[in-house]
Amino acid sequence: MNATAVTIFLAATILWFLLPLLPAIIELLRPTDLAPLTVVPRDAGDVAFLAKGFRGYLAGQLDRLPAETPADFLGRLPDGTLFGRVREATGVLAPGQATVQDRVMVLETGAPVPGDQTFVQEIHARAPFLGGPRTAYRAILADQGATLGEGSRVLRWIHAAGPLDIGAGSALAGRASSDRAVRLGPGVRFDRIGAPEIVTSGTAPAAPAPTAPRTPFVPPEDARRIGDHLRIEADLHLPAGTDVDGNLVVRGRLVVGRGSRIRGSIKTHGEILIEPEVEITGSLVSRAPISVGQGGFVAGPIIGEDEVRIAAGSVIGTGGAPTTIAARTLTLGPATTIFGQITTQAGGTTATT
Amino acid sequence: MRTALLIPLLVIVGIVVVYTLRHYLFTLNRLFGTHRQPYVDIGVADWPHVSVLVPAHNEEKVIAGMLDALLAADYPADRLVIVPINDRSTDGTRAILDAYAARHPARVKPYHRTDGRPGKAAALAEAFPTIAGEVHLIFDADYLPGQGLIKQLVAPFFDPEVGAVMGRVVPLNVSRSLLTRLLDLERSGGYQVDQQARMNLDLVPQYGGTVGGVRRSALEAVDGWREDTLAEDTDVTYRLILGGWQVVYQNRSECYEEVPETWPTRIRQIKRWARGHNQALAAYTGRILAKPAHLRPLVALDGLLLLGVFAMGPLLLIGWGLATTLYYLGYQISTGILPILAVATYSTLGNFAAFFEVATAARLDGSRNRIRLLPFLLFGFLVSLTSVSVATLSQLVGRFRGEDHTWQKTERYRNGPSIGGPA
Amino acid sequence: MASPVTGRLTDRERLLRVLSQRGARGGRIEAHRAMLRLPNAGRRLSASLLLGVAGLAGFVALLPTLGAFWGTLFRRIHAALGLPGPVVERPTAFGPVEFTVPTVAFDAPVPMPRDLAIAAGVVAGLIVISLALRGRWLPAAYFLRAVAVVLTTAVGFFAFWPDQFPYRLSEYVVGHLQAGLVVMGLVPLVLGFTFYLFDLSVLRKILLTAMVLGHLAIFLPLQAMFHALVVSQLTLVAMPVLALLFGILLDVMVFVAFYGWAMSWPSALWEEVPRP
Repeated sequence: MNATAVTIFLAATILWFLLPLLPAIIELLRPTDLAPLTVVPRDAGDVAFLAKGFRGYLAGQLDRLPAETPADFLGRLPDGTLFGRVREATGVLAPGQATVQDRVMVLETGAPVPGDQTFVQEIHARAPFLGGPRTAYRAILADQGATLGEGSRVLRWIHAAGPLDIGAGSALAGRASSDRAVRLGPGVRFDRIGAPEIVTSGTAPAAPAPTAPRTPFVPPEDARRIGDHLRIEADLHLPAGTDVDGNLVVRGRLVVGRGSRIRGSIKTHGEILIEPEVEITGSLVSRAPISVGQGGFVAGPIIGEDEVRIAAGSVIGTGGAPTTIAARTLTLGPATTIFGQITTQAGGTTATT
Repeated sequence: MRTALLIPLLVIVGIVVVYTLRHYLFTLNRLFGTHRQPYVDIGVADWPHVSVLVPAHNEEKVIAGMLDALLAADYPADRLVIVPINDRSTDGTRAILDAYAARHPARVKPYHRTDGRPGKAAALAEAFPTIAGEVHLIFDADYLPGQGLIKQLVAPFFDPEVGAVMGRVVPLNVSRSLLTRLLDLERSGGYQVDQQARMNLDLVPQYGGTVGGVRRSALEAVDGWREDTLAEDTDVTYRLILGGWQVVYQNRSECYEEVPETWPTRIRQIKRWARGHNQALAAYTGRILAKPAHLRPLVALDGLLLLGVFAMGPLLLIGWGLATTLYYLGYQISTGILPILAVATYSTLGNFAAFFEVATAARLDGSRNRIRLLPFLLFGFLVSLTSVSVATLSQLVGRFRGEDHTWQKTERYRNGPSIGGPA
Repeated sequence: MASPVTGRLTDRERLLRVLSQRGARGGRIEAHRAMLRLPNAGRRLSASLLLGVAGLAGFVALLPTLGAFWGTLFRRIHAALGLPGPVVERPTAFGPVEFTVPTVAFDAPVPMPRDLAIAAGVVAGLIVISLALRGRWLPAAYFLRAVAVVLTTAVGFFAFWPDQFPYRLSEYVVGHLQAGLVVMGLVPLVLGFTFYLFDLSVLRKILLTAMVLGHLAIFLPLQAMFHALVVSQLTLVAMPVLALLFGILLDVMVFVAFYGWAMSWPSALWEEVPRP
């Protein structure tokens, strides 16, 4: 045998084997991807998170503007972003031909924003904000109240320190929040809303007729007590006026009869249909659709992995104990009130009438 | 003779294939399936009273950082009590805890153990009856929970069926060694893909003993913590599932941890996991096979496969043993069985998910070049395979001898009490 | 900063759609890694499967060429190394395709007691080295112990049943190449199920497949000849170690190495993922 050839052959074979391992070996010896994944210490669950971020950003930029910058100013922020400040020269906002405004705007005037405009960058409104119909905004931060005209669109977020009124047929993509209250007109589409009080327009239904005294819940025979809940492996229909004391877990579909009261929480694997005037002191959880009937009250969170419908005049949460509706889709009837927060994965809407 | 060896080998290969398919289906589900995180969006609620338990045995290096992180949590202060469980520490842990308790008497209430059975399970079992709160969250002392994490982990308990919750563990000390980098990849696969797929499919996400918690009433309903287990997390997962409760996983609820930086530490850790898991295998296989009415067939199957993950180590070794014997007997295994065993050697050992799962998870995580270390996972698997097999064997021998299981604490690395993680 | 907007109002909807995906100061909106998933499951899965099957079909079609290439490679290496005997072509089949794979014609010697003693010494040496390896070298120690265990079985076997070892070197080489063909055939299918799903260009997918198959097409005969050479020099006692630990296990490692590298290639998915 040829010793040199053997040596070359053995070395070549080993090198050929190692060739595909080169990226691994290089990454081992000269690491390029060593940092731990970034864990966000505070989750951005706060609906006003982006608004607070923008306030901080803008304050930082404005602090660096030359002191002699006039009150009415069209120019650039120190980081180069196109910027406009309007105090007196409201002509910038005068009605006229539809325009695209690509400046970050600070509005120190209460003059209304005309309709059919498109604001590509954020607006910071230091006076009460009044938007015209069909105007689209990237984002609005309002130091006082804000009112959006019919058919308005918000692309990312809107936050008002005062009341926030959304005109009929508007679309709120992203986050909408207020430190006081959010009022939604009919046919408004939304993703996430947070406010001490969220109300939809319309009138509340007439006060319910007096109901018969409630009767205590009699569990089905196959119901099983598991810890602090009662588990039912099939569908369950609670007759009208049933009084349930405790948590229920239902494997099937659940119908809660009119005027019932659940002093506890409900979880179902099937659909939940709640008839009018039902009171639930805990939470409402389902992987299937949930429907809360007219004039209903749910104190705790509503967690729906499918569609959730809240009928007219219902109240979710209380002023003293706000809560969350988390749903894939959500439909809010007229004159409903939610104290706290709404989060949807695929959007929500208010009733059109 | 050959047939007598071939049949068990084929059975083992069949089991390997089942686990491989399981990893594959989980990964496909994670990539394409409906993503379930129904509770993570609950940001506003009437939050329940929570106790955060931190078992600590000689944790003076890390315990202060942990307490500082918990004190900064975004949770109503009057509803959150921090209960460090000082488990017979002989270092400065006790003094640190007492100093925090003195500064925050309403919020930090240490529980000091001076005797009794060693170990986390025993510590939890002893302290549990004395700790209030509707929800008990549990963190190891070296973890660094972010401000929003407590609310995220409590939110699932608004679902009355939820008995336990588990968040995602993210290694912090990735850069320390090849081992930490491999463990980072494995954790990624185990949580980002495996746990989330089980959550998506409504199967058995596993409560992992830290970055998670239990509902007090649920734990009471299944007779509380057991002090005689080495894997109280697996043990309680199965008792809750069998008791009619759900265990849920929240991929978004992330928390830093320190992974073992040296192989001996890793070997001790995985041996303890293996022994604990095997205890659960022995205790709950029969009960799952008996299939209580509330347990769906797929949940039961997933539960069984999850119980068996650490048994795969010795099983795979037996498979190689059989393959070697058959090789000497002249059976041509090379074209069929050997490739399967070879792939399995890379890919099948319980939590340490298949390379597809790991690579997918790393890709979803936005990691880049660290995925290139994938071939080196072979070394990690080799060590795990051997360690798990040795642990199982010694456990079997010890069982015959009536030996007790001993707890071995995982070594900590942080130099000082300050939080060293990125912002 | 130049205006990002050139939109005419007639294109307002399109403009708003673009803007709704744009983050602060022009960046992209980033989804959290916990929420990411791939869209279009059906299309991706079926396209991946098709590509995988097409890859397998292409591989099968090329088998006769591959067999001929291996024959040429074998003969050249054989001649360069000065190995005894000719290179023999053995007929083989992969599904419906019939072709030949090469093998050597010489045999390896059965180990004598002296060889077994040396092998036992190697076992002892491996164990001593493995015990000396500490710290980050511990996995290497485990691997050395695995080698020692398999080598021990070989020593034991040849000590008691030296005449009953069932493999001849020429058959071993054929078996190794056939097993390699199985691995190669699985490559496009496995990639179909594990790689083609991701959002990389078809060109990159084909490139990876070609690289893995191309590498194995060269590595497998080199590996077979390497084994043949080592066994012919060290006697048959070396064959079990090579077959069980340095055979398919290495071929799979090659695949995993390519796969890990390719999975680090950038994708559209990453544009939506924040960097750590």
